[in-house]
Amino acid sequence: MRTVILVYISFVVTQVCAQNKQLLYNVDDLPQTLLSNPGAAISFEKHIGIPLLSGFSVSAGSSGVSTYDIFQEGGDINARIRDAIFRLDNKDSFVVNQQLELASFGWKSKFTNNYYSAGLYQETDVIAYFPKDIAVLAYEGNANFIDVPFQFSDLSVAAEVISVYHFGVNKEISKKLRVGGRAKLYMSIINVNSTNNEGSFITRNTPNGPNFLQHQVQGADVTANTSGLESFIDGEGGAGKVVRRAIVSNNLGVGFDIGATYTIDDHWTATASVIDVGAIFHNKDLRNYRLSGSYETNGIELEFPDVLNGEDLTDYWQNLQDEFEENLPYDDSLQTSYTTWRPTKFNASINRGFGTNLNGDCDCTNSGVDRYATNVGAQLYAIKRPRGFQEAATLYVDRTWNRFIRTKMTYTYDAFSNRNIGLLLSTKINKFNVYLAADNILDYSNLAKAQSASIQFGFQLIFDPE
Amino acid sequence: MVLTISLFLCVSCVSDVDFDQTQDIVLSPTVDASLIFFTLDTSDFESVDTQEAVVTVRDTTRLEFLDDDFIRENLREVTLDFQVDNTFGQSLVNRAAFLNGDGEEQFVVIFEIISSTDGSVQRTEFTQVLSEEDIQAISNANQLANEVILTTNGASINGELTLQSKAIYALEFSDL
Repeated sequence: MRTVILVYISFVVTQVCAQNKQLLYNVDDLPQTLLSNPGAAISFEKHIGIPLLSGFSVSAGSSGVSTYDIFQEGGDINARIRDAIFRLDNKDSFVVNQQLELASFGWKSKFTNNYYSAGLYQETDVIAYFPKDIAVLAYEGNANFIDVPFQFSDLSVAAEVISVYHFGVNKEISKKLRVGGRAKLYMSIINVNSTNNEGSFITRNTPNGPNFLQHQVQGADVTANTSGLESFIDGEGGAGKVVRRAIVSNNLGVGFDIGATYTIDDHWTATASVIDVGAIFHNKDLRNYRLSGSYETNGIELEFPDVLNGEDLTDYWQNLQDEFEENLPYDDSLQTSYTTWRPTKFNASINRGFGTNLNGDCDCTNSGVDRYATNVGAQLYAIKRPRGFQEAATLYVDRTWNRFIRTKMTYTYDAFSNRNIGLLLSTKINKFNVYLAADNILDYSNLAKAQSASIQFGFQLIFDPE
Repeated sequence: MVLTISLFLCVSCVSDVDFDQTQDIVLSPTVDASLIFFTLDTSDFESVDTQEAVVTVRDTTRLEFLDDDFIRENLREVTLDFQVDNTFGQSLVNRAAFLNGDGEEQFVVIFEIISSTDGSVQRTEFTQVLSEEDIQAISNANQLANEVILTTNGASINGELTLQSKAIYALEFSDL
């Protein structure tokens, strides 16, 4: 319980765009840019990722409250927790995302000029909204909230561990337009989903009787769906089972990415992409939990049976329990199939390049499209979450210093941070590339005060045109 | 680049925080919960010999949450509220006894009910804040036996009595 509270209040966040990879977007000499825009303009002819090392990213964040806000030295931690509980609302959320590329490769077709890329990556994605009403009820009780409903809909959690097989095509339609698409096959390893809960609990004053108070559960429909969790908890098969599921899972999904790059003129380009339009269908290794119904009680009404005349004593307590269970049935043995939608991401950007043209005066290998050493631009990002979109806007400066080093600096604004500076450093020696990207670097000196943080790095071989 | 990664890891740190404070986290909810309620009228006393000096009607219910370990370990304060509306003319006393599983009284709340001299509704409000010792006693109980004790006065027993009650539990969870 303490751990749960610790995790929750340490990272409760608002509008965290934990999957935003603003530092890798539009970086045309990194293959990872194809994962955020399959229609990206890319400058390489082939890539092979170092297995397990070609791409790793992890991010988590907080805006409603930071770890420091709660655990700062001195003072009264309970007062700070209480303040946080009442300051946060049910749109605040705790978000963690992690991705690990297991395999990654791509090549340019000699016949069609298309660039094909494929691979397999593992992803963990967790979003837990702050259950405001439930937290207030647990922390304060109902005594000061008579006639105030506590909404069960505040409980919203989605967590998944998946692996993704993908194959993408990046195609030049014309000198001005490049488009791309990526087909995805999702393998669900573990899924927990409780996002569409309904109903409320309310304690009412009842001045007209029959008792002081009436406790009501109204229209409850609280469901938690899980797949892959039951056997994981039971330890059936151990780590080997997880690996097998990552390779082939009984709970499959399909999806796609699309994207495009449009060259407006010699200096301006625009891009857009939609990532992870898809769903996963959970049919095996299921366990569903459901509490539903409505119930109200004023307490126990004594009837004073006339025992002397043979009336039986009434088992009020048993009757109360029976009524409760009859009207609010709880089932923890359901095995019902369900579908989860992937958190779809949207990207768009406008870019202006200037300075040295890296393709030279006449680029015959890339349809004559200009590549500039210096680029500035703006990016927009949005992700569809259970309670709506979470958005971010980024300004960036992207500079290729020489054949070896490229950097990108970003400033990202979203609802939780107005001081998010990110930095990408990508180096390449011959064909060997290493990149490292991190945002919120201003807070790296003390992560406790950071309201979000992310880091991405990878090692791979990238082959440029001869 | 390896140096850069190392640098990132070195410069990133967590400071000025004290995670040992988790030991100090205390949840202290206050819960209002209905208890018993009932209505007694003339019919409940029809079989009673009005010549007897004292008449008692009694009923008992289990309240199994009271001796639950979770409640027992975290209960810090209990307040019991009663409200009685009465039109009986006789002298009345309400006696609520909290019993353990063997039917032994662990804690008793007694209060007089204001009688009605003219048939109008007389309201009695009674609050009892339990001491630490009382809480210890009540947390050994899992039944509540409520008695309404009527002392006859020679007059016919006519009227109606309604009782409402609730408990306000102050809980404290520190060993989370």
